[in-house]
Amino acid sequence: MARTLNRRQVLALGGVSLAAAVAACQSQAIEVPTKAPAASGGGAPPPTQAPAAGATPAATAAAAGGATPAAPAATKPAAATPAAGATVQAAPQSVGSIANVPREQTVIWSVSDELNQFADTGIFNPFLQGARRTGWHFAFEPLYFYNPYWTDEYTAPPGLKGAKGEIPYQAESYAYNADNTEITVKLRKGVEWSDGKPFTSKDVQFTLHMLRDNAPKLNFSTDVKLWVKEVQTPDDLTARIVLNNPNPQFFFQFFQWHQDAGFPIVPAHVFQGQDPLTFTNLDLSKGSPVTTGPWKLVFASPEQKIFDRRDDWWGAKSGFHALPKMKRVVVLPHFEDPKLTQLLVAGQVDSTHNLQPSDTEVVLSKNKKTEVFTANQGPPYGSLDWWPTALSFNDSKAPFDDPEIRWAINHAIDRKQLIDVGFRGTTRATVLPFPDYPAMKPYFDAVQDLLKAKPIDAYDPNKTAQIMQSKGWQKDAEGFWAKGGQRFPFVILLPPGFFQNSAPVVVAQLRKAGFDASFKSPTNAGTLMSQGDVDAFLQGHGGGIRDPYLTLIHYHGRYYAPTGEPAQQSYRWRNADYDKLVDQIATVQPGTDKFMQLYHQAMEIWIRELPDIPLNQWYLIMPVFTQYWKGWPNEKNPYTAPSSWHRGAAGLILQTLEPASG
Amino acid sequence: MQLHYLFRRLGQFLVVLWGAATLNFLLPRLAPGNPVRERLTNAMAQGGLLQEGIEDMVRAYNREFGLDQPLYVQYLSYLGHAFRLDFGYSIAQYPRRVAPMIWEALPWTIALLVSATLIAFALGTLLGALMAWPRAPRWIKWLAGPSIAVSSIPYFLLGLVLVYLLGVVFPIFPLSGGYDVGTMPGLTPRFILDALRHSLLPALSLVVVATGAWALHMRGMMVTTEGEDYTTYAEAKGLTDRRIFYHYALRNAILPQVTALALSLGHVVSGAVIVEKIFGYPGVGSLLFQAISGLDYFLIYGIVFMTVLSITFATIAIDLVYPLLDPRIAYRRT
Repeated sequence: MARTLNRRQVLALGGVSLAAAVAACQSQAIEVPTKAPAASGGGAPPPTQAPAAGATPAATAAAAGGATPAAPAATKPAAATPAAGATVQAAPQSVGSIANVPREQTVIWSVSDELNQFADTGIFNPFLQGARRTGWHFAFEPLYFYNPYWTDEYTAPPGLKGAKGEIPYQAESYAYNADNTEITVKLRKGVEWSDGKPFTSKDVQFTLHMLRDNAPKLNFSTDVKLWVKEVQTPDDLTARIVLNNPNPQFFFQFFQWHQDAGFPIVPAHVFQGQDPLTFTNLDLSKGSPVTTGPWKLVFASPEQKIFDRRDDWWGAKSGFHALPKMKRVVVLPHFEDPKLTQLLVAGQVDSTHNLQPSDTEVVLSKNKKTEVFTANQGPPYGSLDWWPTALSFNDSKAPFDDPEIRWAINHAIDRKQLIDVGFRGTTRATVLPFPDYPAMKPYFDAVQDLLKAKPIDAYDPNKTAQIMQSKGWQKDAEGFWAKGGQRFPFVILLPPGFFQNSAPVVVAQLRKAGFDASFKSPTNAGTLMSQGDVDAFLQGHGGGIRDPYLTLIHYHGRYYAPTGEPAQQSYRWRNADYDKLVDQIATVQPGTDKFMQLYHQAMEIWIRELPDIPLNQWYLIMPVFTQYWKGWPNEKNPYTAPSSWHRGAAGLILQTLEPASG
Repeated sequence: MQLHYLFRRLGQFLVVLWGAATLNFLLPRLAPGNPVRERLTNAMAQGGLLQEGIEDMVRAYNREFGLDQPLYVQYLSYLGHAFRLDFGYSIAQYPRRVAPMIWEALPWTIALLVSATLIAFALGTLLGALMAWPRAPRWIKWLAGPSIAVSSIPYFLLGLVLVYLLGVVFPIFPLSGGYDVGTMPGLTPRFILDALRHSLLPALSLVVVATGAWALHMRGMMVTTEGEDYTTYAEAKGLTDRRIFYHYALRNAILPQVTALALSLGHVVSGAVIVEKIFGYPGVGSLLFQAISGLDYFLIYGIVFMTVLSITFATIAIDLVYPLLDPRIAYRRT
């Protein structure tokens, strides 16, 4: 009898405690999200659930962090923040009921960055650290586009005007003053934000001042702080950007969108009064994000983002450009190559992130309604990217600190074999760290005399041996270079996910020439490279595409840091004469005689020292599905590359595509 | 006496929780690299982030996330967070917070894994019981071999095979994802059907493997209970087969199964990682994978702590519910 009673007692207790636990969990479920805005307020007293949130270390850290970088940040009113925090919480976000749009009126593409799931569904502020390239890059518009493939005959797609690669968009023109310290930008009349407010020079001013005053936490803020003194607004359509130092590259670098370079102007009337470090610019129920583009975000979940066409877009109203033909754009996350291939074969997406040549061949053969960039639909299949790759070293570390050793390594590289085996013939060798776009040809021509004197593409293992022996290296019993019983150190680091096909070829060639080389691709490659804990690494150069300057600065001594300390460029090479020349180049308008002369001098040092070893140009292969949409960029119509994740491409593509039927 | 037991059990619960939480704190820290710098430099390598001042940005955000503090200070603030079940901001998705990210992914995982686990449990238990039941149809006994074979295959391997067979060779099911491109999530019949279709393949790989394992365990238990005197007595009394099967053999054999079920329900999230990764299924597993590959400490902490919590809760709950199933257990003796 007693036993039954006990059993009941225990059951009752257990039941009660379980119920309590469940209840606790449920109240937590509601409480946690609502607590968030208070914590992010950084100082604003949380309205009701004061006890927990007010005291969190995160909250104090946020407050401290906000106040440290720049004084003006601290003055931003905190009162507005809770609203901003609240929008972050509610995802998936959608507004009202979303109409069904037929497939043939929809463009579906998969972009870059996160695999399988978006990591930025709650963010539409391109300057936040958590922002990814998942839609803001075509919802916002640039002052200018820049087409890297431009020739004298061709710059802009049908319907847009442009010359020498420059395609004016929100702006009509820009001009530097004589000493390149001021840029006067004339904005286009009639450009409007999606809430109907006009786009004015005040927005340009606000955006640049916000970035300048919030360095270093916002994207691009350090650049803007470095260069921009202030922005003047003589009238609504004129913005004068006053620079700290002469910089004839500034407008191109940040306002002429190309590939992944450039940033948008944000609406002053929306951002004003918000904390720029946490303002997400996303609350669908209140009409945010406010952008100027013809696209309105209507749904965002980790699986997809949906943008519907906004028929009251300023461009159509003012006669600047017709409305895009598609009614909806669905943006999908990045996927692993097999899935991208399968989606393309099944026609479930119209364009994807770049694919390997082998997968591209599968797509082209299994889905007849796909095409690639090249006119003959054959190798190299893709379009030239701005990412020529190189074998680079920690140039401050022995034995790589000796230019002759770097030349010895260069002589061990057979670029032709690398292209044929590592890339199946789908790219070309390069001896300079620049992409060879038509506009770059003069800069390749200008250094031919230097390359003739010191040919970089000169595969010659005998020369390697000669140099190595002259430096006191001897081959050991296994045939590897060694000195004092120590082998030549040569571990090549790869950024995760890159160079899986080409690195083995490079390593094999080096081993053949007597270097005990190997490669690895750890997840912390970024930190290792940044801190210089490496012998060598493979890497691409996203730099100059219009002129070489933006690549030349990669090797500037200001990025030098001793091994062990983080450096933004990992070469750790410095040469005072080179730095002086690059500093001078920085102030000269590209293409002028002075520019060419300085460039030649700088390259003389560069080629002699060979801080890294250029290997090959980089092609992006993005097959597109043509059943529903035609007018994709290609070799005959090269207004950009079909790279949906590039801010310099996505908006132009959407403007240009036409329905395939009718 | 009972209360004493309860308190001791709760004390154990807290100690286990603290131990797990401490390990949870330390393990991700053993991985080399700084999460902020890794993300920014990887973004630079991919060409997505071209700007000056990356190192300044890294320092500023390390300060923001408290990563520049001594480890013990970080540990204490972590314990505080764990206690409140609020792990602050995600490092990779700043300024999103960890808790809503988990709540958003949780329904997918629960829908897929909890239902798969329950289906496998029900099927497997019944099958195992019948396999050991002398008066069951003969064909059921032939299933013993295949169940051993299937249960020893890791479910993710079976998953890959299923993807290849039913996704690629005979494209009946979608390869991955939680729902079709362009479908709007919501409580509409279209979406529910679509989500079901997408969950069938991952569910199938889980159910097939787990059913085999449940069946084998159950079979073993049934063989034991069938040999017990009370079963023989029941037969001697002339009770119906049906009654003996359900009320004498099954009822007693099922007890350890229920314990195992509770524990495996607790493991749902940790088991989800590989399945969700293979099938590209949105859920906590995918989120955890993303967090680990991005060294997103706070997100890892949030998810793992939630897992630990659910496992320990499951254990303690089963301890407390057990007397309902087995009156022989008397707490004064434990």
